[in-house]
Amino acid sequence: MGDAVPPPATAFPLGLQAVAFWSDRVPDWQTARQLLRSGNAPAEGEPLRPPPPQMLQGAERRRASPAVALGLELARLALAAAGADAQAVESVFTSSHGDVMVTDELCRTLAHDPALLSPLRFHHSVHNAVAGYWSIATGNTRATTALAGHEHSFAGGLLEAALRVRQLGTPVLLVSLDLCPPPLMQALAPARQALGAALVLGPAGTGRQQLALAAAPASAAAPEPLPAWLDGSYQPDLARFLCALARLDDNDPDGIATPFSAPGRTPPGAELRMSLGGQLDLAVALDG
Amino acid sequence: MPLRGPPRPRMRIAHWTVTTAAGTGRDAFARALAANAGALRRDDFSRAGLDTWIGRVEAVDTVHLPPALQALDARVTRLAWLALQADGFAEAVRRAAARVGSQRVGVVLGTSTSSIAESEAAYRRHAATGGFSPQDLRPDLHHLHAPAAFVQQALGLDGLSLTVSTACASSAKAFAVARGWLQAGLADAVVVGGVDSLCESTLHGFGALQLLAPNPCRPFGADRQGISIGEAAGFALLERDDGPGARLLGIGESSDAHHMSAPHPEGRGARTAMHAALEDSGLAPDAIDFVHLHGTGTRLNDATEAAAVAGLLPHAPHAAATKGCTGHTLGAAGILGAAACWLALEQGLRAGTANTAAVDPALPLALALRCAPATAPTRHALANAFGFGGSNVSLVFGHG
Repeated sequence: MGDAVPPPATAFPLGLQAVAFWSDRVPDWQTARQLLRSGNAPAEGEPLRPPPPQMLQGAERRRASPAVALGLELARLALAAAGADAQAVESVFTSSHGDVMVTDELCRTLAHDPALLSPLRFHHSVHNAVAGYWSIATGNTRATTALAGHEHSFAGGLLEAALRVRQLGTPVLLVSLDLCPPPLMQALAPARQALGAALVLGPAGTGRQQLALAAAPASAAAPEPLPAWLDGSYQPDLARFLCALARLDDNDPDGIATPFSAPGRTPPGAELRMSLGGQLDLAVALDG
Repeated sequence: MPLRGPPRPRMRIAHWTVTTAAGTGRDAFARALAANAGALRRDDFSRAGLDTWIGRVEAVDTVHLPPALQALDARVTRLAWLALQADGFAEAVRRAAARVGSQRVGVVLGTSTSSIAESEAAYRRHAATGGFSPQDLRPDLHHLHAPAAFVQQALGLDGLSLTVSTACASSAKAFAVARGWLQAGLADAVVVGGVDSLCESTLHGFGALQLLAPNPCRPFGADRQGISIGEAAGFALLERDDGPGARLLGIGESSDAHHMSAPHPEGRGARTAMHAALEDSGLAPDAIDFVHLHGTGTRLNDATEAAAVAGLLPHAPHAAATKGCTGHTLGAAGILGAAACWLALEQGLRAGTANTAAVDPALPLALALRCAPATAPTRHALANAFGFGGSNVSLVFGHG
């Protein structure tokens, strides 16, 4: 065997330092967490619009595509909650379908009058548009990547972020989001809601929630059903992860997680299985 | 002080293949590079017939997928299929899977446009008829990961699979994901690939940005007028073992943090990526003796890359750009650049810069850039791939 063979690692421990959340039904993690813990559903109403990206000003803010707006705002909130330096982190952006609003406009223009295609629309259409705008807005020149894995987009992104944390020993930003498709795209690739989250992940022992990732043979068990208000986005695995996370702790003021050594209380941990495509699962152990 | 992770193992390129406008398989690519022959043609793909030249893989128009894979039939999957069959690549992957187990072989593919040509066609049909046809309604096709899922299925693999989509740096960045999996012991072999097929979005999109050349592109030429879009697919089987083949020695990544569709004027991000790749490989700059430039043929891209390369590699190694041969194949550009490096390492074939008659004397790269190919033993080679969003990747390859 070669001298370069590393020992096969079985589990990758890491710390979750912060979470930011948005869906077109529920605007923030604190509310989402309360709903997930109580089993209640949010009030019916019109879908929410993505929050304005506070990192952009004036014309840039108005021109930002919906995915860029959402991704930048989620990243800002998560990094602020973690107290992390936005210029010092590497970043991983993941999305199953990318900016379906931009794809829809692009395809409609191409179908009707290709000569009218706007250069702005075209450069918004790249899958790494959110990553690109985020690096410009923060001045972060470090590595960033943009991934997709269909229904395992979040699991694939989480694994990539974990491997980067392991290599760097410093925090990594993970942003995972998908929009709700407009009508024509809806017919081609059905989904009925938007869902996004940003996580700041760091080495084991950092943050107040510890995770351990491992690859495992695919489980035959059907995944636990999601609450209706969180079911139906392009990212079911992100929804499952957030459900598991929400149930772990009681009274964390930041809506992240209580210290896991909280006195007088030993909340149970959780294990979550997410497909990685093929016949492998990502097993995620969450310390209580 | 930041903790450093485990040292980077050197990954072996156990097998590879590319399919471009120059033909199916690596020999067609090697012959085109050795002859410095362009394989571009006037645009006969876009429905509008644009005033530009393209790199079209003719065989895609006649290849058929086997019945079991028909559900994912699309130009991009036919292109991927065609490439997988060349050079015994699919067979080499099957042998690897038989040896280590199909769950231990991963797939990571770089693509910029994925299956968007199928979404475009569906929207055209809807505009013309007011409805979709059944073939439009394929949710498993209308997402970015569809070509990678197709490749995984076509090769009978069951391991990790992921798509990297960072515009024209996609398939170069895919090597970073693959190396991470191998290093972490999550896979024993990884199929790394890049695939992008011709579509209306990119032809009209680059047209809207006024970046399409009206003639076959001339990277680094004084008379360069822009890009020629192409399509291509390339695959490599990465392993950790000691067998024959080139080695992936270093990867460098950076972000320009400057502009969505224009590079940093002094090539800051490009230089950072190359420097990081050298550092990762443990090599001094003067160890590099072949550079495959990203070289798209636009005024600004080539000027900034020239500044970055000349600044970092003052010893003026043989540097060349091959998009005048294949066209700019976007998400597949990274693996084509890597393949040009493997030809330099394995055969001593150092590509030239097809279509470029003379280097722009205003560029600081004039000393290094070679219009003509050459044959010379090559120790270490570096490939650049830069994309929209300021996404920069450099790869360093060498011998085992």
